[in-house]
Amino acid sequence: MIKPIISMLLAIILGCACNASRIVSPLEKDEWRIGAALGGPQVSSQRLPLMSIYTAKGITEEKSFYSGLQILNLGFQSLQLDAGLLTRLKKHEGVSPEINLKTGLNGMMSFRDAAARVYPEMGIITAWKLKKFMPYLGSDLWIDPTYGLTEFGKGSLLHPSLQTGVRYLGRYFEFGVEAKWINPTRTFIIPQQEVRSFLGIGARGLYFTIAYRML
Amino acid sequence: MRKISVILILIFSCYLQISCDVDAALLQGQEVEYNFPPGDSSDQFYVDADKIFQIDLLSQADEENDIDAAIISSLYVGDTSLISSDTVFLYLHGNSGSLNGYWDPIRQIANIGGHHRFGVLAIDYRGFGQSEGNSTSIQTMRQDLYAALDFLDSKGLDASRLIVYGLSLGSLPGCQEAGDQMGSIKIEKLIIEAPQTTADVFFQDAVGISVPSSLVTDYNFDLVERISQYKNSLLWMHGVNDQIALFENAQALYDAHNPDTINGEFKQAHILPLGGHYFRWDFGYENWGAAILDFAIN
Repeated sequence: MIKPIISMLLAIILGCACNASRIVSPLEKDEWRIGAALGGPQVSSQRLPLMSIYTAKGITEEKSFYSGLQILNLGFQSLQLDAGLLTRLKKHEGVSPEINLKTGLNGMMSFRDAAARVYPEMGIITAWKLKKFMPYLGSDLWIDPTYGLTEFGKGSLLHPSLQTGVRYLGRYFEFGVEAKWINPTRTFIIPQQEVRSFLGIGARGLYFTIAYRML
Repeated sequence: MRKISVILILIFSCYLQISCDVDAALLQGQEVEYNFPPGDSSDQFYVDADKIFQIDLLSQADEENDIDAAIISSLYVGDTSLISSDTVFLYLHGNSGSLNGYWDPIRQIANIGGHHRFGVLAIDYRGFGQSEGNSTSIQTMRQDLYAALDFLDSKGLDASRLIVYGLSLGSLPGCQEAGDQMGSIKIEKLIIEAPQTTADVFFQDAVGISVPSSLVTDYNFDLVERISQYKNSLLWMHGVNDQIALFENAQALYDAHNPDTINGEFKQAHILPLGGHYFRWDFGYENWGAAILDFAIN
């Protein structure tokens, strides 16, 4: 009983600061997509069952809107939502990848005391369209405008992460897998747990996504 | 629209069904059979078999915080009939299954400066060892601490002969009460080894961003603020390489303490540059015992 709870706890703790990419390339105009993501950072020997659902819509051929909700947080009496836009800056040509700009907000609120935080986010995703497969590389930058509220002056304004993955785009479904290096500028400390990382910094995560396409 | 409604219902159901807190995951109490072997005379810290007592204590209910009463288990090493004249340590253990895991430091404390020189009372918090219930907040730990203080008070101990020892997790009730001083015996000497500091910093160290702990728990504590209210003597022991209770956080706790030096109160620190969370091991048993004795008799 305890182990699943620990997993959920750790998912919440580290999940506060990481999600799988909702979309990596703009949708077709007026396309809707409803999806779910599973996975998360690796803590000790466990992969965290971070669960979220999301939706996305193609506003134009070049711009899509997305929004997501962390399911697990609800169980811990808090709300975590994210929303934003993915805008194509450059199309895929030959070996030159498509370049997309992601801008969004991540909001969190506690149902206990209504404490709330909003973290703007921006990122670049480069993707290659290889028939139905779309490998990609990306980087995110979370901005913590309330870093001054961090205890003992340990906060920082910028929190980067790097990710890579591949999406398979079928007629009705999209499947994806993504590996992420979360905040390689710091060391995560969870008492009596080992946060797996690369080079001893940040945290490493693995995510699986599935989405239903409504064209 | 219908699909969205279904999704919303599922989400709300999820919220209702797993309204969780992280207490259960953080606290590592285990139900075990107690085992406190006295050792023999070749054992450096042996204790007399007739001076080991398992005592059940009543941890009172706290209606204001929705806490039920519970019977908690405790261990007294020494002669309970001499509590009215002995100096007694109240040992508040760390986040490990039960008192079994702390038997060595407990019996060492009993023998610091001489065989059975000090009495030692140690408690298992709710949900640890054979103690009933669950520890769900700093208030439940406070109730357990009060049960121990009430027992010692009933045996005639006074504040001048009480030394409270809080190890890691044990620093939560220890420092909280040092600031509150609401128990039946006031705390005039407090030892903290590898203490935690605040619930917020606990989660912020895990996440890296300015999240409040209330996002995941109502296990709220601010020991820095509490220790700033404590005016009596303090001994702090910590390893700089501690990855469970970070040194720099505990430094802030120590810095916040302002003893009433006019009345002879003081603070001391033993810092191990290469030490980790298992300070007693890294410091060496002899050094650890000498530091405690020095503080106790100062």
